Amino acid sequence: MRREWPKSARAYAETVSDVLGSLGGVEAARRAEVEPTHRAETVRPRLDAIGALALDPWGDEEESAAAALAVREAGRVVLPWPLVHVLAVPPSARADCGGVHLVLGECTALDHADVLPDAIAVDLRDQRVFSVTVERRRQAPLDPFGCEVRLVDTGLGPPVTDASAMHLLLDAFWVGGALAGAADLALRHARERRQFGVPIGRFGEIRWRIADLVLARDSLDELARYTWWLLRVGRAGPADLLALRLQMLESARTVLANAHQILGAMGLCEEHDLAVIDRHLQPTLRRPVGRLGTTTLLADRIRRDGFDALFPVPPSPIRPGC
Amino acid sequence: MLRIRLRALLAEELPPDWVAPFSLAPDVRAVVARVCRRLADEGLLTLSWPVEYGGGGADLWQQTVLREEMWAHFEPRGPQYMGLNWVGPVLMEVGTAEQRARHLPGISSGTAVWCQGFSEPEAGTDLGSLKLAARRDGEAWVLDGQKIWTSYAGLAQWCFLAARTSRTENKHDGITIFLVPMDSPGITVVPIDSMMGEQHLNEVFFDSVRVGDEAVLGEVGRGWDVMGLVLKHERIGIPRYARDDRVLCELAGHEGLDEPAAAAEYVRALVHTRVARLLSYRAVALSEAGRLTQQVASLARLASIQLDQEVAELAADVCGAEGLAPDPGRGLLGHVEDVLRYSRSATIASGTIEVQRLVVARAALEGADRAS
Ligand SMILES: Cc1cc2nc3c(=O)[nH]c(=O)nc-3n(C[C@H](O)[C@H](O)[C@H](O)COP(=O)(O)OP(=O)(O)OC[C@H]3O[C@@H](n4cnc5c(N)ncnc54)[C@H](O)[C@@H]3O)c2cc1C
Repeated sequence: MRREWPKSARAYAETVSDVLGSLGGVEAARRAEVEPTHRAETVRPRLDAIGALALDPWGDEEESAAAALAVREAGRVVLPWPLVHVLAVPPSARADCGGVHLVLGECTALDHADVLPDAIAVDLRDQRVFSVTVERRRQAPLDPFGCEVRLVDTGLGPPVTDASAMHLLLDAFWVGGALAGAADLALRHARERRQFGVPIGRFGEIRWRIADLVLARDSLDELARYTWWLLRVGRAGPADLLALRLQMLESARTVLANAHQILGAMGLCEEHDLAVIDRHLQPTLRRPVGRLGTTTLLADRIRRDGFDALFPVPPSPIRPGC
Repeated sequence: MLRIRLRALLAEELPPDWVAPFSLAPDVRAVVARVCRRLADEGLLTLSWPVEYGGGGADLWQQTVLREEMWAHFEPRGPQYMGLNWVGPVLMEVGTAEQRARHLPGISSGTAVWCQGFSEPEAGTDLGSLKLAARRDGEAWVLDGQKIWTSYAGLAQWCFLAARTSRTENKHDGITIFLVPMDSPGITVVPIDSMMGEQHLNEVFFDSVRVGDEAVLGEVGRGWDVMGLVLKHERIGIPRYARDDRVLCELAGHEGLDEPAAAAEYVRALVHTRVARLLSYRAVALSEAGRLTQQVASLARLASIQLDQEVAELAADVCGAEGLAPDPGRGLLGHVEDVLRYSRSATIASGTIEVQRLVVARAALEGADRAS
């Protein structure tokens, strides 16, 4: 596995970053929350203009990497557009399907469902496919673009096995970006905020938090990069993708908790980007399932498929019926 | 493939319940000697050394595979790994021609055992404050003082010793490295009983020990730089995740994992093991590109040492009270108690976890942490 991202992909990520910067960065998320039409009227056209919505994450190495890194940049500012849902639809199916949601069992609400035409939902456990009908928007602090939905089982739909794997992969890049953003805010604050006459970054307790935060951030980055490569070479099984989701959720927990603690009261204010990143990231962290549920899914999968390692775990390590 | 070759070789040479290479017991010594001889015969003992020193000239990835397999199989080279991993390479960098000629053959044939004499009772994390004195007396140096925590001192023929040759304002100046024969008159080794078992910890007393100039490695007073080279070779740390991987693989199918809570911890540990390996591989890749930073190395260590304790706790929990006593008939799982005892030292030996965290935080605050 080569660690360096292709140069063209890094350059594209910079373009994406510039465009998101011109939208105000995290400010776009704040604005869309009070003005939901901002998403379709302003955010979407900007993404369209740079071809971000047409990227093929299954494409050649450069394009696939560009898609992953573009998602990461979007996650960094918790962009108010469901880029992952759009890119996780295989290009051949995009004419018929505007986006894919991941669900697990019964589901009554999905984020951004109101802006995705002809979206489908895929059940993570059994890959059943549902059509999605929006009933009404259901805004909440931790679900800023939530919509109440009705799902109807359509039997077989477009080719979606690939879609759920890609969704899980891209979610990790999205969250990786958001956590990198949160980490940067915490580090800047630790350098600048002074108490007792010194920057708080001088205190051992704060340094301890910084180390844990950086480790969690980098753990997700490395696993996401590796899983991206596994998927490209056709070796990413469901257990690998669920393992990535589990790491993503653990990293998010560690980074967000430590970043908040470092920022003190300031980080809780809506004016501060950390509060917005935290709130807007929650739908990705809880849908289709959070840390505990993901752990159970992963345990089931490893029981069935085993887990690749230096000493690979054979299938059925955890005995059936438990 | 190197990994397959090493596993086949170790399967032939190691007893089925091999876990403890650090022992004076004759049967254990015999296994270590046999494995080292076999590795030497096949050119694998010095795989990582440059060709000009009779090594295999292996790239960093092959070296990583070798280290992973050795650690996963409870370091069957015994204390030899120190000589091979850093004493030899540091001698190549700063040793004189005579020193290289004298010491490298013993290391490359797996016959000479070295110990590291850095820590002292008053100099732990603050290593620069070490006091063991080296005083000039005519043509000789006279060593007086004490080292502590010195692993394998009771087995070693040589000590890689850090001593103070002068007192200066900057405490890091005035340290000199000596290569001291452990059978020199005036050296006393006192084993320290520890929960890890024999040979891990010793006190070493130096009472007017005389050595000549040929024992000085590098320049007099520049020992701190030489210690920096040692750390450079040990920067990424032990690939602990490889042994943890093996423990988790052996645990698969254990009835203790029927408990959903145990199964959940088990799969989390599998994910953490993969992540620790990837963070180490990042350090190897950056090292290969000449861009390894202190914080990338420390992040790899942080993940690895915490993993060691997580997996040991999990294994001990899954095996339950049955696992409290060794059971040679049950292979690796019959030795989880050993794994647990040893894991306690993971966050202390060769730089504590607190120090690793401080390194990471300092670099992050300086904005140097995104170098990768
Ligand atoms: C199994 C094992 C094998 C070893 N083998 C060898 C060997 O072969 N040769 C050798 O020379 N040494 C060896 N050591 C010693 C090892 O290098 C030291 O234990 C280590 O450097 C820590 O020193 P200390 O134990 O004196 O702890 P101390 O330095 O006294 O630290 C005690 C606690 O205080 C913390 N602390 C200290 N300074 C700071 C600071 N500035 N900021 C925050 N926290 C701090 C530490 O992190 C730790 O938690 C070995 C140790 C072990 C456990």
